[in-house]
Formats: sequence, structure tokens, C-alpha cells
Amino acid sequence: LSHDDTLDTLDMEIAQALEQDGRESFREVARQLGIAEGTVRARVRKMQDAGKLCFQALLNPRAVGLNCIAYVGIAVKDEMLTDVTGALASIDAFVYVTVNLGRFNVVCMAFCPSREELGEILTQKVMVLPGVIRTETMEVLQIFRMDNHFRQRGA
Amino acid sequence: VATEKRKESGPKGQDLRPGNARLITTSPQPPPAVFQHLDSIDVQIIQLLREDGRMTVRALSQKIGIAEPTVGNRIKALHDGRVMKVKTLISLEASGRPLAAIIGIRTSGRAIDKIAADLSEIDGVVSVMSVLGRFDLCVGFSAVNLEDLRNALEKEFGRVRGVNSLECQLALEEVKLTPLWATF
Repeated sequence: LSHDDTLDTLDMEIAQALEQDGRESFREVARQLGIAEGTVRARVRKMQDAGKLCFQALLNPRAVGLNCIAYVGIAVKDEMLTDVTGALASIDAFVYVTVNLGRFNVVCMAFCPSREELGEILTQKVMVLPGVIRTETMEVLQIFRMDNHFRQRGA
Repeated sequence: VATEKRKESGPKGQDLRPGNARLITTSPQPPPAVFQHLDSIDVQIIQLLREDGRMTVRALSQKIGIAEPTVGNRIKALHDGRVMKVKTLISLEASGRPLAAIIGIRTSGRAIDKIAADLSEIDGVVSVMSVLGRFDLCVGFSAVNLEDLRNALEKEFGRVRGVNSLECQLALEEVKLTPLWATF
């Protein structure tokens, strides 16, 4: 990770000032930090262009009827990892698919309207994939914290 | 045939063929199931704000074909109703914590919400959820490097009262990472 990849202090302050409300005016951010509005605008543009920062509408899963959230750990034959993770990534309900070290070599996160639909996805789309050895589902009971991050493209 | 099918069903036309598994998604639309509960104007606002969270009210009103005050009111209602909020996301690389891990935790002898509150305070913790199954809590964590991860396991996670055992799953590759949901 080179020095250029991370944010300098002012960039970080600007990003933090915008964190809770991504639509906050640059004028207000400039006022809070005691800097020029043009500086905020230019810094944000530069961070956006470099893929370091983005502004996104995020949804409350419970408010849009997605009541069943689960971690799905999957043991996959190693020689099939690319095929299986490619297929898993194409499932809409899986917003998160990773290749891991640990008990499971693939971990996914599913957001579904109901347990029935999660069950359908697991039995009809996941367990049938060649290379899937076993799955273990951990349904989420309570969310205490859920922040979002993203990765720079091609990083 | 299966390969072709996957390619077609990839989000945003990304190539999901073997060897091109890396398809990190930063701005896709939510699954269609999400929109069943919303009217068409709200759906359009959300879709446009998924593409660019800072799109102006004027641009939104022109694209959707409704009055500017209506757009403003709709955004406010979505926000106040805890349905949608526009947040600023910093990439894992830019935040200096490029390693992602999921830590499964078993607890005992202390209320889970208290344990969760302590875990939420740890630098680099992204998510904390209680779960049914093998673990009691699943924690998303992003680390500066392996040394930082090692130290956090011993000195931070391991020392939270009520944490019984830890099992760390370190991500080698994020095949799909869609920032879509938030707590409100």
C-alpha cells in the first residue's frame, strides 16, 4: 500500500464531515472545517476520481421488507473456487461473496424477504453447484453495527 | 453452456467467466425484491442516487419528470422514514485498512448487547451482528496489515469481557462487495 493510496489529514476530515450525510452542502463542510468551499469541492473531486471515496444511497433492509439476513459459510472444492464464486456472485440476494482462509473457504452474506426464500436459494441455487461440499447458515438476529466500505476498482 | 449462462446473468454486464472472477461492484442496483414496497417515484430516486449520491435535486427532477419540491420532499421522507440515506463511503485502501476479515465469536457470562457495544468501539470494526448457529456474534473487521490483525485479536477482541473464543476468517478475495445496506 503506497502512501498515495491513503487519505491525508484534510481529505480525511472532509470525508468524515460528509460521512453521515453524503448530500451535505460543500459550503457547510467548508464552514465546519474553516476552509474554502472550492478546496472542499476540489478535494472531493480528486478523491472521487481516484476511487477513494463515493456517495451512495444505502437502504434499511428491514424497511424494504428484507427480514432475513444471514451469513452463509460454504466449503468449496479448491479447484472449483472460481466457478463457484462466480455463480454465487450472480445470485441477487448475495451482496457479499468472499474467498477466505479459515473454516470456510467461501463466505457470503444474504439479504432475503423471508426464510423460505433463503431456503430456496440455498437448496436450489447453492447446494446444487458442482464443487460445493457443505454449507452452514448463520441467521442474523440483531444488527448492532453495520458500516459499509468499498474497494477501489482493480486495487 | 453453464459458463455462458453465468456470463449473461452477471451484474452490470460484468464478465463472470472463470479467470475473471474479480467483479467488485461499487454501484449496482439493489435486488428487485427491494422495490416491491416502494412506489415508482421513490424507486427512480433511489436508483439515481445509487449511481450518484450527490445528484442535485434539479437533475433528479429533470430525469424523473417531476417538480423539484416533490423530489426534495420525497428524499426527506425516505430519509426521515429510515428507508434510505446517502452516505459517504471511503475505500478500504484509502482508509489504510485493506485486509478484511470476519471474526466469529462465542460468548458467555455477559449480556450480548454489552459485548457488542464493546466490540463496536474497536478501531477497524465495520459490523457487529448477533447470529444463530455456530457463533453468537459475527464481526466484520478491516485490518491495516497482518500484524495489526494479530494484535487486534490478542489485545482488543480477546480482552473484551464475555468473549469466550474467536475464529478468524481472513478474506483473500472479495468477489462481490456491494455497499447497499446500512443501519439507521
